[in-house]
Amino acid sequence: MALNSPDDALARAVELARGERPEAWPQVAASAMERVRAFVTPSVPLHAFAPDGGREFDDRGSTTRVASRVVKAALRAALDTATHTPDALDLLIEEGRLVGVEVALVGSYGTDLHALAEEVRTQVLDVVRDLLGVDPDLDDADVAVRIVDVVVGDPRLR
Amino acid sequence: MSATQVGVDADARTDTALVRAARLGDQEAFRVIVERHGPAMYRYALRMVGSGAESDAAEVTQEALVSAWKDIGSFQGRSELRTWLIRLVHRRAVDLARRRRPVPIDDQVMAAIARPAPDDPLQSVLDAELLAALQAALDTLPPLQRAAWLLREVEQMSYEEIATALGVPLDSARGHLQRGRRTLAERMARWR
Repeated sequence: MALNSPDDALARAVELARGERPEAWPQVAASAMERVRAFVTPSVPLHAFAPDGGREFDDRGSTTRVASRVVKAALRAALDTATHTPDALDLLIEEGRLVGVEVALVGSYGTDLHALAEEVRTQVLDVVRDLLGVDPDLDDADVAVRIVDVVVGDPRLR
Repeated sequence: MSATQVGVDADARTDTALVRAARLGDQEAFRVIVERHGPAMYRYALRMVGSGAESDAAEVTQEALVSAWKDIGSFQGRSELRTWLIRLVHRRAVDLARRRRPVPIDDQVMAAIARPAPDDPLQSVLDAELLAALQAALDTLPPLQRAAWLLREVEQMSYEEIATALGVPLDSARGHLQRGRRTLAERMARWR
């Protein structure tokens, strides 16, 4: 390419700079993701409940705790669907006990939002009970659902 | 109502959807953000920190990405995600530039940045020289002029995005860009 003027040279340099794909980028990205994965999300241990509704799982008084980030990750995965996806998830915790869940959702346009809220309450309780057992004092009244946005199509993509 | 769980291609997600998922701890969503916007962040860091400092640029980019992961909850969507990420890189690049002294151009590094065109070795050499000349000229600009020029000419950002990324008023961003353009044109006038 013949560069006949300084403007040509600068224009060509800009074109080259825009097309740059630094060769070291894959290593930079891999190192960054390694550091991201190593970063520990803040979490607190939550009491699990035995089948009798108590906290002791045997005669020796064994107890089980589950990290709140595990519960949150399970809720995020369960609520991420073609009709709705979570925008925010807050676990309300008192003295190591999960006492409520607040969910902010993005729904898909055309979805019955009242029915969606009911369905999500059920989903949340199912996940929580699956991980923590059945807390006799935790029911669907302790799950607050807010629809914060409605989008056209699959909310996981929008 | 059926809320069937169907897998979704993370690469097809908008930035808004990726941020929403990453905010809730979805590392796969964040990986897509890194793949989507990281190359521009790294390219910007390379040009901002200057010649012979590829490892500094890598560190600046990685720190910015880790910071983005930790603080993604604070991203409110008032600017484009790309603008927010560039701002994170910019702050670190400027901090680094303040701390270190200028270093001479390392030809090997410049050659590594300019990917050779295998079908035309002569053009490849010329392109590498041209990019080295550009970097040498950029190195002489004050950081804000260099940043404004890179964001406008290379990353093709709007004036508003540049002002947001640099944390300066719009008029100031325009001023830095104009002065940077003028100086670069003078410096590159020597190159034929």
